Amino acid sequence: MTGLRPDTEVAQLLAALRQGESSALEELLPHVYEELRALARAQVRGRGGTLQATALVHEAYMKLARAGAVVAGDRSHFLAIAARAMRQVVVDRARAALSQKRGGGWQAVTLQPDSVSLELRPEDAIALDRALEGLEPRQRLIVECRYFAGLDDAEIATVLGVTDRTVRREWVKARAWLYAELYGSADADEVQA
Amino acid sequence: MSAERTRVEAVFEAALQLPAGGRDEFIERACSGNAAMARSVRSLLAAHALTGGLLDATTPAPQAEPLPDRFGPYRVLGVLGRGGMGVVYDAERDDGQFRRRVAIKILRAGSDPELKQRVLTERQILAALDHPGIARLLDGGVTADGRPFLVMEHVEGLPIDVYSERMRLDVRQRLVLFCEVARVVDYAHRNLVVHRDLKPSNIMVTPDGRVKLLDFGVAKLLHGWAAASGSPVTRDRSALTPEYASPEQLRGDVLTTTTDVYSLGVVLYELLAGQRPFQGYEGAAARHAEAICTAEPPRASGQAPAPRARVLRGDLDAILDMALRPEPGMRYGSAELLAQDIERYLALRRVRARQGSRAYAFGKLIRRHARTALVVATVALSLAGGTGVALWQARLARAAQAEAERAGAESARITDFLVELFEAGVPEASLSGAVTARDLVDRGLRRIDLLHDQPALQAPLLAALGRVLASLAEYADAEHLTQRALTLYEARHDEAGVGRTLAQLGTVRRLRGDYADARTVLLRALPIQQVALGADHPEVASTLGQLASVAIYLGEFDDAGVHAAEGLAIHQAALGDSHRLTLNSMRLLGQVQRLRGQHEEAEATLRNVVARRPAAIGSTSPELHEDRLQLAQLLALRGASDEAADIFRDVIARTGPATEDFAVRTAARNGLATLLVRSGDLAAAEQLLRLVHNERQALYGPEHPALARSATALGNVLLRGGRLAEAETAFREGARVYRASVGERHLGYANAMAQLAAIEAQRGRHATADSILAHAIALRVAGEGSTAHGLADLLRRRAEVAVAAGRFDFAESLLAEALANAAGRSYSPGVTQEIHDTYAALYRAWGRPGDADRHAALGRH
Repeated sequence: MTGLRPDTEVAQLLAALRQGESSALEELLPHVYEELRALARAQVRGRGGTLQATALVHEAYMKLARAGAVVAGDRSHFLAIAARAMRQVVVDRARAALSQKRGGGWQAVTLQPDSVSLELRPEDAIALDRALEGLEPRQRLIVECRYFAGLDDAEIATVLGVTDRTVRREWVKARAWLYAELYGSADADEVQA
Repeated sequence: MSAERTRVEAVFEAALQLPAGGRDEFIERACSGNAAMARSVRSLLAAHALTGGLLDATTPAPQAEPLPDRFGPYRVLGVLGRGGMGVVYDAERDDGQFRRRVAIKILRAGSDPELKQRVLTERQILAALDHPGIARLLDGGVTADGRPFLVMEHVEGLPIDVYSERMRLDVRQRLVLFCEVARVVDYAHRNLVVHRDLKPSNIMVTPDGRVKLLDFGVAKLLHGWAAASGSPVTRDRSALTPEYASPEQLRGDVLTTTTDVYSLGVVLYELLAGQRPFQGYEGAAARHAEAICTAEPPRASGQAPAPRARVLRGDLDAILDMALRPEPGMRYGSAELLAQDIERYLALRRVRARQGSRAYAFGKLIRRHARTALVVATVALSLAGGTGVALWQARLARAAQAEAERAGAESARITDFLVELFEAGVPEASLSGAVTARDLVDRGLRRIDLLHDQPALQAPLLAALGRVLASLAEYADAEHLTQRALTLYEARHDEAGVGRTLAQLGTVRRLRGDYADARTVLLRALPIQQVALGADHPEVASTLGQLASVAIYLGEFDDAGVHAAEGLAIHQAALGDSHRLTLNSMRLLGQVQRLRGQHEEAEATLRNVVARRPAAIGSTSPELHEDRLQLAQLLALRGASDEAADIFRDVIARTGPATEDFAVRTAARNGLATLLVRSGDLAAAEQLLRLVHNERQALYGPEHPALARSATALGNVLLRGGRLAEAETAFREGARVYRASVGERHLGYANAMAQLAAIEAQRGRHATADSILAHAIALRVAGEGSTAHGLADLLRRRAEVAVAAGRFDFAESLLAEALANAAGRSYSPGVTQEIHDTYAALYRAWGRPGDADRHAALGRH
């Protein structure tokens, strides 16, 4: 019976999530969101530079894990939730940057969807957020897990209760949709040719 | 997702499988003139190309490489080792400012484009491991040619096995050293890092004798890469160290911290016995893996050289056995618990691994009584070798058979399972007599674990074993198994199973004395069963009966009455008036009526039960005895001592020494003892109670709550006879057993303490008496809050002591509290009366005769 301390709200939500109640994911968001926002502020201040989304999410996890809110078996589930929250943090910062000084106070955000790291401008961050909304929910979760939390196929498979293979396939499709959305289908013929 | 989108994705996926040249034609065909759809597919393919088409990348085979000069700032000095994982270089960082010796591990993973990110992510997690017992991870990344590398602290020292031999450490020194290892592993676990590859060569001992663990989390890292990149590293088993791998690792199951506990077990085994549990499979990897997954590890004491074997036998065997259980859930729950148990051994205290061993004592008794107990025809009996385990087997088989009846179609397979279990168990048992009931339960558990692909079979078997363990008074394990069954039923959405298992959980908790918790789960079970089975199903009635019993223990006789009556009505409607279960329900109702003071109704009910029972089953059944016992207890209360005594004596005479009859015979002896005390024959009562106590000790071992009850009953008789010292011994024994079995918060413990306080008060030691009672009260409040059952009586007793000590104000406030507590309970007329009596005594001593008389009058109401 490994698991969470049953008395924490986060624990209950994770338990509900495991049983397939996706609404639990949404309910947990505010908690993790606050945590990540605080960490993001500290990271940007401390290093004066880039916001490393994946690193931050893991830092939040370690912090909550040490506090006993999550344990080993729930790592993937937690990270999946944290990824969603991270996405929120990033897009909030992008919006704020745009509305204040047209991006003057923006610190770059790096995401690592693949071997390449994405350096996002605030406009990009908002476009990515919008493009993610266009995805089918499962694909969206997979992308969030990868971009914002750096989870691998096996870990995402645990979260979704499907095989690695399914995750891999969905990831390829989701990524194609995203790129098509972000980089415009106008280029399509050119690239194809 | 829209149907359109789904189709687009399907065509896209299919097209990806084709060579680029053939895609266009395929898309045209697949979209059959739907231009928009074809456009979408093309744009996806284009976008996919933009991503770099990672899926198309192939993994180059790793090649042996020449010794490099440097890795970044590190200068390579030589090779420390090569293995399945890769190469480890001895290196130093020399950037002009400082020198540092390091070990660089270049991992043999295929070139995975995602590698760099993984190394960075994992490095961050591993870098958080900051412990003097763990070699620090200093750096990590991907080399220019795409291979992941890790830079670790360079450790001087020897592997733990080599060190132990070279230093000629004795068993004790090895255990102390090993405890340090376990604690380091536990530290990592608490930081969410599982080692996954613990083995002596990863456990170094430095020249100053401290342990230093290498490669924490590296296996996970490697596994992750390999899984993501499809690299061959995990496919050939060379990355894994099978000698120390756990069964779940070999099976490729989910790994948790208990995987490391298993590997620690193998290391300890090797340190103590001089060889690993499964040795001699060199070159037979498949058979080796099979042995690890299916066979029980041989006892370490049987493998070790003669002088050491003697030391290992017993506790250390048990500790190793527990660490090496094939089922992760049955091992020590953490490395810390393993370390603690070893320390318990070193401190000459009783080890946890043996605490399942009340079953040893049970086994002894059933061996003695087995021949008369072979009454119930079951699958097991034809197989039983005659002695020893036979009765226990009957018990298990009965439990399982009941389960099988319910499970219907599964019953044949469950029976098969049990037959196999016993076939495996019996020959050894009859030859050596060494296999205990608990051993068979454990064996059963291992086999159940092998059925992990058949939850339909697993769940009822776990539940059945849970009931068997409950009957062995192994309540913690019984609860654990019941909960495992519950989880399985929940996963299958088998509501009837969930309800039944919850009800069983409630029963286990009641037996264990956790009445409030028992009620919580029973109240959860009830609506589930009502919905799943219908409100008039006999199983619903059984749960109501359990609720009634719990309410009795909680002193809530109103609730008990309601539940008992409802249960009875259901049984009557479903099964008729004379069914065994109907009569059991009716007996329960009679008991509640007695407790509520409705003696006439109780007598009518119980006489009705006794009159009907022979028609249900044979006239000497244990159930009939129980009926008559309840009746006799009522008659004793109504003043019909002679008839009650006759029944008690008759029950004693009719019941044999078989374990089956043990509970009733004991209850009859207790009842008779009460009557003997009343008639002033203290000697006969004492003799009877000592008999009961000794029998229980033989049956249950030294720590069953029943033993506490008989000890305190004996104490009461001795106290009445004025034998304070002997009474004190009995109460202390009672208190000890209560604490060990059901915990200090149990009412029984408080009552035993109260009697000890009474003895101290009689000796004139009021301060001692007061502090004992204060302690008992605090424990009750800690357990059940300010409305705890039995609190009123404890407060009143404390007031009595205060009166004797002349602390009248204090006594008065205690009594007010006691009265408030008693008023909160529906049926405590006796307690309320005693409170008023104590008030009267207080005011007389205080020189307030008017108040005294008023309370004396109240008390008589």
